[in-house]
Amino acid sequence: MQFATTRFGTIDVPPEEVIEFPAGLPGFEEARRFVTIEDPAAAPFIWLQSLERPELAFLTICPLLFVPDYAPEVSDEARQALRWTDDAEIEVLAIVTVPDDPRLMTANLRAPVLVNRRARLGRQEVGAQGKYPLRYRLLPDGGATRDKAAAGR
Amino acid sequence: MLVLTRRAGESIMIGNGIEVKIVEVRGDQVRLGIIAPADVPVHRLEVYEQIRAENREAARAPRTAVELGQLLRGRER
Repeated sequence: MQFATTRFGTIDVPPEEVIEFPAGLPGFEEARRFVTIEDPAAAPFIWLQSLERPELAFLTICPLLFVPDYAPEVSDEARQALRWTDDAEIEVLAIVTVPDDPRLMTANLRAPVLVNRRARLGRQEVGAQGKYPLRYRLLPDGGATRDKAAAGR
Repeated sequence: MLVLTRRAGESIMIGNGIEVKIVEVRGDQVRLGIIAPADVPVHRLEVYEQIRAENREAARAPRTAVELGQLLRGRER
């Protein structure tokens, strides 16, 4: 199936890769169908592209890359909604916010996006992740260490 | 706003698919049980609004993430 997107042009998506978000996302409740796009040049980012709104796409990352012991609480309601039967089939993504200075980009660890690939269902868990930040800095020092290292060469 | 008074154990029906039940009243806290279809998200207001605001910011994502990816690579633990 073909879909228009502003960032990737027209994309061809096999039906089995379409992820349904029955409740949309907070702020985008009507956006119900998404696909993940992994561009190797943009790794480790994964795009979550809306199939209904060409201009709507979220940058996401896998939180475990940055917080190895990330263990969000998942409500029973979410488990049911996602038809969660096996931990292995659930992917966890954190939506990234990029401010004007990209080195200050943050990941939302408080409301992770959960995807059940097998069931092709997705949901942003809004529950009780008080222990994780809404804005986790992906570059803790704004990239300063990197800059210093580069200048030192 | 429609204001109704209910006792513990009583319910409110919204539309024909959403039920809000007063499960328990204890002191200044009320425990609510909600039955709603999958396409109707139900959340504490202030939490939902916080996530909604953050998502709206995040939706202003740039056109490409290639440079952002370069910034990140090597920072992963």
